[in-house]
Amino acid sequence: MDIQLKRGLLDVCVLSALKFDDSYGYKIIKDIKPYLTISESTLYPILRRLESAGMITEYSVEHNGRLRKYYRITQKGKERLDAFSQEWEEITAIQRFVTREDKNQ
Amino acid sequence: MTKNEFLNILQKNLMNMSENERHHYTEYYSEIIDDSIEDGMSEQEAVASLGNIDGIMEQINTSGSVATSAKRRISVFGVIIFICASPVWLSFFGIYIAIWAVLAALYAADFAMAISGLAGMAAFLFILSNPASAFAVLGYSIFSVGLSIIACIGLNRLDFYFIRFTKWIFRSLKNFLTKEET
Repeated sequence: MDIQLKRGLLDVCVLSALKFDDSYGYKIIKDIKPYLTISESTLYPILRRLESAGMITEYSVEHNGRLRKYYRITQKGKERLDAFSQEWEEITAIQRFVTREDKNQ
Repeated sequence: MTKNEFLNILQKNLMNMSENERHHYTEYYSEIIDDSIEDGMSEQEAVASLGNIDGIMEQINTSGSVATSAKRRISVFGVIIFICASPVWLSFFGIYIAIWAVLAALYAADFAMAISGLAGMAAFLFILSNPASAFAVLGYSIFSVGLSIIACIGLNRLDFYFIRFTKWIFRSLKNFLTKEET
């Protein structure tokens, strides 16, 4: 997949992984992996980017005697997900245009 | 590789980052390893699943603009302390300048020694009529050129450590006078 496209999709996938529940690094990767290849080192900059864009917030929770960082989607993050759904409709329309058959044949 | 070994190597590779950023990265990878172990992997497997350190560093470096180090701004408290403490650090600054002056003087002396040695070698050819003096002068010249070379190497080392010391002072000063924006 095109790198730029994948980059945009990964942002959306991370937001989507937080759509219903707050989550942590390892679980986010596990949730996304069936759909898109993502490594631990890829996730970190995405989380930082989304956080500085105000789309997610983080907080720490004690878990088994250590701190685990959880991420929560913000209103702005939810709006990004909605915008993505609309954008995707446009992309599907483009895809139909790209793959159309010649009517004259 | 154990978790601690991995985190140590990671830390060493992140030396050019701010302390804050380094801490974030270490915390992140430490958590991922702990979660993998909790999920049933052995410690070694958990570390291996992250891939090799070069690949991780490449990812970190290419995403550098994304995970930028925290911006720094002037710390008012630091500046006030810096101004109030000026009588103390100005006197140390005097010593610092004096050390550079001593180094410059030593270089000049070293240079003079090398020149006198070379001049002696040239003179040797002109006073060959008196072999005893001529060879004494040649001996002195070789000795003095040799000594100046050894002294130059020594001075270079001194320079090196002193420049490193200067860099360290500037870095510490920068950290003291500014603080990371959170």
